[in-house]
Amino acid sequence: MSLSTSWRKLWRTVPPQPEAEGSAPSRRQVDVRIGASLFERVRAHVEDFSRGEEAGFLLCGLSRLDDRDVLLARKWLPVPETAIARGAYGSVLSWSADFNSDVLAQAMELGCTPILIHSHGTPNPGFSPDDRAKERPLFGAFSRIVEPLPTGTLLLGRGDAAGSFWLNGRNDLRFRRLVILGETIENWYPSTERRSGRPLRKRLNRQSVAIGPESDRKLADAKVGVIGVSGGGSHVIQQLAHQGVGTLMPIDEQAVDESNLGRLVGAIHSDVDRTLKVDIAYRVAKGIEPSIEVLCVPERFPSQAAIHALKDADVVVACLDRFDVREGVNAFCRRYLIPLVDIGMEIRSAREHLAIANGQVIVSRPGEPCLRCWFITDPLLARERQEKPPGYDRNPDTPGDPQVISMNGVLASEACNCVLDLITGYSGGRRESTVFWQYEGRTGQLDQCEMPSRRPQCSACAEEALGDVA
Amino acid sequence: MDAAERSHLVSNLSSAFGGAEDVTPAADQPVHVLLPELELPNPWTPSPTRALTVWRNWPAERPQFVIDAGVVGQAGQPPRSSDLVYLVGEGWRSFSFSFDWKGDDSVRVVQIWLTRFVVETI
Repeated sequence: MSLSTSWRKLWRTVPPQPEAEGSAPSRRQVDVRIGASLFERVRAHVEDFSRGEEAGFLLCGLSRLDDRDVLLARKWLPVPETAIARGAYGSVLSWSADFNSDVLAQAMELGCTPILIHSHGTPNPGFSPDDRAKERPLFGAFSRIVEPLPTGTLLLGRGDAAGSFWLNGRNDLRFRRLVILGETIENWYPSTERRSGRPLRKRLNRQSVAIGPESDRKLADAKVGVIGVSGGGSHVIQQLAHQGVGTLMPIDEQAVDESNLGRLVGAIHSDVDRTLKVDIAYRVAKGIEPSIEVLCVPERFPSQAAIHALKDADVVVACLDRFDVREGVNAFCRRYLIPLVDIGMEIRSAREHLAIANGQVIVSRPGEPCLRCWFITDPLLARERQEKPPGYDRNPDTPGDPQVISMNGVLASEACNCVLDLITGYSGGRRESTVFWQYEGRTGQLDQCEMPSRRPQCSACAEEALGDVA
Repeated sequence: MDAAERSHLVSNLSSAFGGAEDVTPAADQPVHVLLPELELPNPWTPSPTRALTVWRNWPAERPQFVIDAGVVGQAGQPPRSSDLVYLVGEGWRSFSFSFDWKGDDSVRVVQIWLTRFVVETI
């Protein structure tokens, strides 16, 4: 891919920044998202002070949201020792212009933007006068070259970070947070920012006693997208609302039909043929806590509205029947570095008993194996296309897949445990990122199984952190 | 598919349908070719429109063919038996259309896909 081609594409596909409303435009914000394994490599380099300070560039894709830009870490380029000059030009750390050129060329080739990372090895990080002196010429120039993408620098502390971000020659973006996506989602905020002291919610006090009062704030700040809010997803919505998740995004285009009453939590007889499934989700969540924000998308993934909403999710839960849609959701979550919790159940009946009742709960985190690395294979998709061609499930005469609400509920409950752990870290790291849960619905057995490794040439992982760039 | 074959494929499609662009997300992936100005048969709109082709195991397998999610027929309806799929960062419309696959050339196979729109119009 030539440089000119990739930048033409970038210009066309990156949505413009929305105009600020009102007379005093607020500063646009920047989040940086990074997978935990990549972040460990970054820290290992910049927190090794054996030769003095170290630095490097993260090449990042962009997810442009209404109120902020989210930079998605894709590739780490540490400044090599051969390019470094220590104590030269009156600076603690400087490096060759050739290395900067190489970084820019690689960023442009990938359709990414560079972010400089370094550390002073201290908590409450603040940029030094030397950092500030270097920043202006470097990012003044970089930001004009990579525009419309932002660029800038992050200074890592100890659980906090300082950031300074530029767009088109101006240093007027505000760093909001660094999000580290591991077994738990960690947020590193600027140490100067005081996190609002929101009162604890009385209705959550039993849960807060169990997993700590901090969980209340983390859950209140969390946004969870739920794709498919019928047999499995309706349980998920209900439990996440009870757990205290602040923003829920149910995505489903279907209305309730009579057969849904056997498995859709919250649906009642008068909803049949009248009420959208997302409206049931809204009613259930708001009934539990009116302050929960419920952003309903009555469309099918991957409509534009669904993509727009889900880009802002901290976690996505997929409760879907079709493998091709799950493949799309998996690719989307890779592209935007969003942890995905996927539940699926296959039931086959043999007259009056179950021949097969197998389910899984899988958590796919950025940097770890994804669904496409593993069980969503080309032959599986080809078979599905033959058995269930596009439009199959919109035909009212199509027989639905067999389902049992109580078995869906087992998987949904475990999926909600996974979400709770991703957001609060309640398990203390005991939910390993390399396992998934296999459910045998006939015996009631729920087993932890080893996930396979990442697959080279996985089509979804190839797009990891590419964000909005086509 | 090596670099020369890729380039030949893109060039053939470009000559036939105009402005074809290699949008393969990574070097080790099957070739993805964007057709930015594909003419659709009447009454499908918008025309020209964008289409994406994915050439997995070409020519042993027929390519995947999807069109812009906004394409509709005369009454504003999407193509019959179609669905949205997520590919290279966007939602596209895929549809079922069965035809014998004989390893036809790259231009011919896109033309065959286009006959699907004529068939639905009739």
